[in-house]
Amino acid sequence: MVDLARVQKELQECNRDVGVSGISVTLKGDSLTHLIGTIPGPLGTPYEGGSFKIDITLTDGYPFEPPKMRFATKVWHPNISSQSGAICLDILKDQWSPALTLKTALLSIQALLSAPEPDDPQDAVVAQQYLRDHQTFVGTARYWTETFAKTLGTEEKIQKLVEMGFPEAQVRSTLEATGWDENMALEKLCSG
Amino acid sequence: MIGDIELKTLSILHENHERPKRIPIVLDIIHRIPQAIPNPYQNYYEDELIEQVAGLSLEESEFVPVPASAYAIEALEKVKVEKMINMEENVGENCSICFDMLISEGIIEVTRMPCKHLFHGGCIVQWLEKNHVCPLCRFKMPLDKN
Repeated sequence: MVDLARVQKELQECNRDVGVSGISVTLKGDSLTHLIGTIPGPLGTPYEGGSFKIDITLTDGYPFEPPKMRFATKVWHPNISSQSGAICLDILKDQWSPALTLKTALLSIQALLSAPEPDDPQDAVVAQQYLRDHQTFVGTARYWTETFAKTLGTEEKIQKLVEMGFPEAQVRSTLEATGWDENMALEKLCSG
Repeated sequence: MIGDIELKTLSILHENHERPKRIPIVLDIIHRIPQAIPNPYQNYYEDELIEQVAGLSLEESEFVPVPASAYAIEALEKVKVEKMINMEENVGENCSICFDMLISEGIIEVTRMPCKHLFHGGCIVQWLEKNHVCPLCRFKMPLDKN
């Protein structure tokens, strides 16, 4: 059985200082075993400005077994699969300790974003690029951050679509109709 | 080449009384103790190496911890809460496993690891039966001989 009392305590503790760490954990549904972690991309890295979502599943053995974590946001990094979001990090595997928490695990993932370990890769293609063509790596990582990890505010979404040449009133109503999903709105604007 | 590394690593694991684990962890160990195998990569092109290592790391590795010996768990020091309160020792601290207060109503004794870290008896035993290291400092408890 998952130690639900502990998980509840962890959630309270973690979300108390979101203002400082920028790291938060929320429920995915109504169960305490499926959670979503959010980490800000570290400053001075190609991930800066991005907000990365981590899918968290707690197995029955938690906290005696590590939480299962993978990136739900696409990210270009040698130790994270660009396809599945799987993370290569020892504390999520054999180095797990029950004194660690969801928050400390997320902090470690944030540290991994700052300090890739290309010698122990999860994604061979990314690791190879990191080692042999660093400039392209930085460019790709930054582009992926811009594309997948930035959540625009409503005004920014409107502006983006208006800049594409659609009338503002129409943009606004379409965004409202699609629940502020800018990709769906664009599709609708283009087709209609 | 990977075969060689695997063999060497398995022998290192054996010397250290570790169970053979899956290859990603094995490779991880190699990275941590480079002196154990003098530069095994020197004759290989970076390309080839990355492909080989990456291919193996991509496998989902499992959490394969080694439990502490039952005898060592049995022999852990139990500290009477009464005595701790008298000495005003660790009063108000949490157990680092369940995060509840270490000393609270109904708890008459707690367990002290050889590294001096204190936990609720039930909590630390449940952990050591899975993995032999202290949750706080990774102090290694004895393993079963075989």
